[in-house]
Amino acid sequence: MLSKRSYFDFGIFRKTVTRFWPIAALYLGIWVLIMPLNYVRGYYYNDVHIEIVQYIPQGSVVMTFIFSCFAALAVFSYLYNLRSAVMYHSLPVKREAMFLSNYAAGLSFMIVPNIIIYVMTLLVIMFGHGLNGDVITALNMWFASTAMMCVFFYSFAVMLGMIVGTWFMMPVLYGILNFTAVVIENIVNSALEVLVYGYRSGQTVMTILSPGVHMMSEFRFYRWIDSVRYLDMPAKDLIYMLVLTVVGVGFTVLSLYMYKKRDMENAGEIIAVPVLRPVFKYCFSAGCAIVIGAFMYGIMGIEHGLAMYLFALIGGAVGYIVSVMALRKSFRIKMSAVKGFAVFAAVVTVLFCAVSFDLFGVESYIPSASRVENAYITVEGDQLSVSEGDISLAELTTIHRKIISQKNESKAALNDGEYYSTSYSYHHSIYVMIEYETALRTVRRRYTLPVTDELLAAPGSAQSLISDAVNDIDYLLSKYEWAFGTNLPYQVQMEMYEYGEIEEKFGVMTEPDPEGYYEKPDLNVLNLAIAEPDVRISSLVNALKSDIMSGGYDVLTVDTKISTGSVTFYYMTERPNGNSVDYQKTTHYMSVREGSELEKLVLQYLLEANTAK
Amino acid sequence: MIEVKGLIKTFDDFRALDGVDLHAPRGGVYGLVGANGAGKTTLIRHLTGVYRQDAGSITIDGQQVYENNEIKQRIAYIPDDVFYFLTASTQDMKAFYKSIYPRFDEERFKRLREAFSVDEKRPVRLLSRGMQKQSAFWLAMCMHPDVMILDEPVDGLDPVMRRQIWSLLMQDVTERGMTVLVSSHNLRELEDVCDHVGVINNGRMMLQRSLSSLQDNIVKLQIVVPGELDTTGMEVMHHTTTGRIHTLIVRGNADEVSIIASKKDPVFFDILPISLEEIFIYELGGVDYAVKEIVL
Repeated sequence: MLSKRSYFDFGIFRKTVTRFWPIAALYLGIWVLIMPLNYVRGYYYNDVHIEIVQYIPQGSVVMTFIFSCFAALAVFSYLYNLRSAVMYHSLPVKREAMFLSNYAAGLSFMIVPNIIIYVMTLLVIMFGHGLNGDVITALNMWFASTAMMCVFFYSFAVMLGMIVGTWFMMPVLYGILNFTAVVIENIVNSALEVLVYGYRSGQTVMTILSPGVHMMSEFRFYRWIDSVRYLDMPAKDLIYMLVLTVVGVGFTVLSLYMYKKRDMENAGEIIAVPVLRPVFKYCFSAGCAIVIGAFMYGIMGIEHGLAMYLFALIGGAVGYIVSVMALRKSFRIKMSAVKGFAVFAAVVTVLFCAVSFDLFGVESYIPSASRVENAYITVEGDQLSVSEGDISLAELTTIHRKIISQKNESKAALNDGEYYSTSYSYHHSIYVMIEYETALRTVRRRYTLPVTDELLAAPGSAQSLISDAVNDIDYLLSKYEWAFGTNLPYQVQMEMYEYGEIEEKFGVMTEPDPEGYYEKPDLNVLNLAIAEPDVRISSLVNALKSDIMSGGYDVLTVDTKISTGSVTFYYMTERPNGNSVDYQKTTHYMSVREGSELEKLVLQYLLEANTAK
Repeated sequence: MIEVKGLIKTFDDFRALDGVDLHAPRGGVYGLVGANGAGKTTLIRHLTGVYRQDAGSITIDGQQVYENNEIKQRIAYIPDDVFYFLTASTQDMKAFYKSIYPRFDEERFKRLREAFSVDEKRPVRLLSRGMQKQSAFWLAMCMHPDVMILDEPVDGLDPVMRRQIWSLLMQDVTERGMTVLVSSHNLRELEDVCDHVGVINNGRMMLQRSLSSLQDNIVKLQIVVPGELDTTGMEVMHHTTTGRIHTLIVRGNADEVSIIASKKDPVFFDILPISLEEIFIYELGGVDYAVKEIVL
């Protein structure tokens, strides 16, 4: 006959609390410094209630994250030493009661100080500044949020404590797993950018699986209204924390199950749950393949998919060896371990091949038109939007398909080393970014395309289609709307890059020195600023308009059309603001294209200035 | 009282206990002996409900031990290496055990203060190994256990304290009918206190019976015969010769062996008492665990 079930043992609870109370004291001490003591001194920048909720995303997350680990490690430390494990489990206390008593003790190390801080802060504000509804609401928000974070982080740490058999593995796993989602996503995205033609990662979506990072970066419990901050707990953040709490409770139930099944003889093992040892081995190997592989790829500077594969394999081998050694607690590795690594290496190889040969169809993926809410193509900084009418979705997807179909030619041309990109003068290659916004996510692709006169002239080539799109008159009119308005710039700054160009074109100025260089003349000759009411300003604007309309600002210019200088137009725009008018300065920088109307005028004005000097 | 049947326990690929049977009657002292690594401590950890068996059963008074508070409250366990909390004194440990064991007797703790030379306010970790053992006995005896399980209990204790502790234990055995299961390599000491002995080897219980029947079943025979000794009719476990004197360890009781010896036309023979240590050595010698003659 079994004895009756009990779920709590006060003796165990009390002993655990009295053994590890310094953790609670330290937690309390830090919060006292952060909150009530801060308000006693009156040392704060904002309204008190805003000050309180400001601590939630940073203070509460960091404090609960760290102290949950300490508390879980302390209260279940007896499991990691055979002597103590034997003593505890020879006691007449059922495992449920043993677990729940220690669990409760650890949780109380944070929850009880939270209650004390709540009361202390309330009293300090009540006697020091006067209590109001906002303060109480803010304190309630702080307490509820912090308590929910405690439950999640602490339960997570406890669950890891049930998996491991040695104390140092718990904080290691806790630290790694709390950031795994974010780190792995970033590294995998970086790898995909190398392996998959055109792939560019969008916004990180895995942050949500790293609660600490997510809460610190996304949470804000106030909002601005007319320069005033008001308390605000967005529903999505509240739901997120509630979900975390439920997950935390789930972790606790799982931990209790593992505790009941735990074999005490596994105290001192790296992983105490035998069935999880292979999981640990392969996950650790995969993690090392990704992290060490990425690190080696970064420092070696060999930008090739094959190099990435080899580095990942090396990283995986390191991870595999370390995990086997750790699990066996020996530096000696049996030959049978080679089989396991062979399986791991085969999986990595298949995965790399699948990604490299685009077996998942990522490279050629274009979302169906019905799912696309908006799309953009950005060519050397010029963005054409489907929703703005700059380009149709059909045109954009045609360009995209053409880019994909020209993949091999483009890569081969770029690999011969003659192509480079610059947005100032002529182009041998261009960056093209394509983005599709769907309800769920944004699909991004970025390509570098070679540009030659032949490619631009070839009908149906991606380059010619892009050129047609960015030089479309309607698009240009909207893009340079500022130049076609009635408002004139109040100032224009002109500059030519090479003094020799002026002399070549107009046959004036100095002789070159014996080494063939022109002496740098006074800067006034190369730089000229004119301001209203100078009539030359309208001439320059008109020359620019003429150039734009005649296609002189083709963004895909090649060799023969180079930029010889620049003109910066400074505008002052009026903006009504109630009964008054605000003025806003805008600056438009234009490169001067060789042979354009604008170049003629700029050269003329600079020459005149030089002559006058 | 303590009943173990077909106990099997495997650690990874190693079978530590392989179908162990054990029967320790109430109110007796059961000595568990075995070579290093034989499985004594593993067996004891099953008896105290720490380990969960792969197969078999462990019961005390017919009730299984694992996860049974009512039974475990009646067990006091002193391991070879006693655990105590880092800063805890004997008094602190007393408070802890008192909160866990309902039968913990505060008055007894006070009465036993005279028997133990332990500074009860001093952290246990600062005490010597012997003092730590004393502290453990002190606390264990205050639990009024029905079963006392001891793993190498007197290691580190001086001879006076050993006698003191055994005297206290035997009082509880005789007065309260406490059952003691003790694992020790100090066989001379066990011989003085045990009434039952179990010999465990390689995870199996080789033999277990009362000490008297065990000693009745093996004898040491010294015999001098003219010429060669014919051992026909005797189950000889060990045989040495010094000059003309043959010393034999023979399975059987003294009367049977005397009759057989007398039929060998001896010049002289004598049946000598055999110690538990000798039984242990010669029994294990039969299973390839004997003192080996190694020339260095």
